[in-house]
Amino acid sequence: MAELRRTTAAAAALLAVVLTGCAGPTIRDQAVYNQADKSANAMVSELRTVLVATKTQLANRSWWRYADVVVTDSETAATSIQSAFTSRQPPSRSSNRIYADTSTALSDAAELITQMRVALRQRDVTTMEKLRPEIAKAATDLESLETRARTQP
Amino acid sequence: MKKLFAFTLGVLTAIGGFVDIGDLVTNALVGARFGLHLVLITLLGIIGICVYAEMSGRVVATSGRPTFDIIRERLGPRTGFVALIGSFLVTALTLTAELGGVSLTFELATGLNYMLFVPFVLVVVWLVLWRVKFTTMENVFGLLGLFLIVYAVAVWQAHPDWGSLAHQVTQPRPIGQETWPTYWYYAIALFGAALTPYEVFFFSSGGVEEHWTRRDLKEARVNVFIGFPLGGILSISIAAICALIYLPRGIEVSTLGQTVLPIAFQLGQLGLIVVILGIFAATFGAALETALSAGYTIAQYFGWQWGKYVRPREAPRFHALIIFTLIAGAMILLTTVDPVKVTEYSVVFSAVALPLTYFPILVVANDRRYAGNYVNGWFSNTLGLIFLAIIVVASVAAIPLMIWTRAGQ
Repeated sequence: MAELRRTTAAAAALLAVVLTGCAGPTIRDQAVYNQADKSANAMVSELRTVLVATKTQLANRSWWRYADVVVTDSETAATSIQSAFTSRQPPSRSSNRIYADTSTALSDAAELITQMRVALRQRDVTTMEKLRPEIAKAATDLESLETRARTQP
Repeated sequence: MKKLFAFTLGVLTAIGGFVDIGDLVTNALVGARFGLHLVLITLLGIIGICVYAEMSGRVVATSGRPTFDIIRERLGPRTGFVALIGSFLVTALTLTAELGGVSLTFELATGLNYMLFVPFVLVVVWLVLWRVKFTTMENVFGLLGLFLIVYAVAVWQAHPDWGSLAHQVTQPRPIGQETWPTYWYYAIALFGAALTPYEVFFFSSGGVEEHWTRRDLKEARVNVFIGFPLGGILSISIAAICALIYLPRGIEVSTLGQTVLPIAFQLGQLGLIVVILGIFAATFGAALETALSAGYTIAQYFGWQWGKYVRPREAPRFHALIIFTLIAGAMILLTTVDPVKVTEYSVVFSAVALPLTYFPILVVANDRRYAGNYVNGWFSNTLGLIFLAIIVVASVAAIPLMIWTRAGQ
């Protein structure tokens, strides 16, 4: 009977871990660095996708609705990457800095993609051309952040 | 003209097998992350599907009976039932992914959300299955799917360093920050995608629909040895163009829109139109194949009347099954599940189910009661056994690798 109770408790604990696993707390600094590395990497991918899509559109090599789909997909992914990272909490002061820098960079990047999506939907070529270098810079900055996160002791 | 269309069954099967929604996304993703370092796996998959499709085509041409009909008789109802359940579930999941793929293609063309198109796609797929002749269906979608050759054109237009690409092909290993487990996870996904079970069900049942006899053995082989390698070339082209455009920029592929973007980037609007038409034909063709295969497998196992060569009223259960599977697939999509994720999982689960499909084919192709004088020779058996061993290893490793790598992340 006691064994059955223990098994049930273990199963319940396992189920709880599985069910809440998606938003589990970050308990080590290294986990924050890994997450920062991965999130920055994923955001760079979205930013560069937007750059390729808008370069193609501005050169009249695709059509607006198609470019809109690609950039909107990137915006959705960027928002998800940003919110997944910022929903975590750094476990100690030593990872605070990386956490704060990455959160800001991800948030800025997601905002830039949103601005680009709005400009694209309004077919505002001037704003699109103005945003492109900013997006390229955001990608480069995130790459530096990625390297920093990866080389944390 | 008849000769020109003689190989369209193989082309349609291969278009479905190698460039359906699962392959499109997987190949693009793999090209963007690994360059051409996984191409040998695709080549292995092409040889594997040729070996087994040739066997099943030969059995159909000599016995006049399709795969599942014989599997049940030869291996008994219990073993046949296990094979049936595994294969049917994977086929139904693949059908869901294909319906999503067709809807996403409409989204790319119109900018409207893909969910709006799901019910429309469901009805059109059903109407085509209900009204259009098998040969018309295979000719139209098989040949339109060849528009995807635009990927090869884009690679050529990108003026790549061919030496560097060849070097990548001969270096089968992970690059950059990629790890071996992730490399093997995608290797299994590519292999599973190349040998998706529904390909042989559709191919062998298609042979029955086309009334193959021993005199058509040559046609069956032409279908296999032209259709599947052609599909494989398209697969490799997708990986190559993504390796050229995305890998240097650090872009990872997770949407169908990204799979198409290199074509617009390289070839402009005309290329974009051609590739979207090609993807529509490939995913729509694959939706037809998987819907039919779902009906074929169950109807053949239970001995019901089946096939498009008979009137729908003569095969009501077969058509009811198709409608049921189509509606179930559409309903899954309408839960807002990401069709690309469904696609990725369908490819991996397909790898898990491979032995259930391919082992019985090897057994049947060695049985004189079905293959007559055309049973496997030593060469076919050697290749068949080698691939069966690879299939078993891939099947066993697929789920652990999926968990270990968090589905390739």
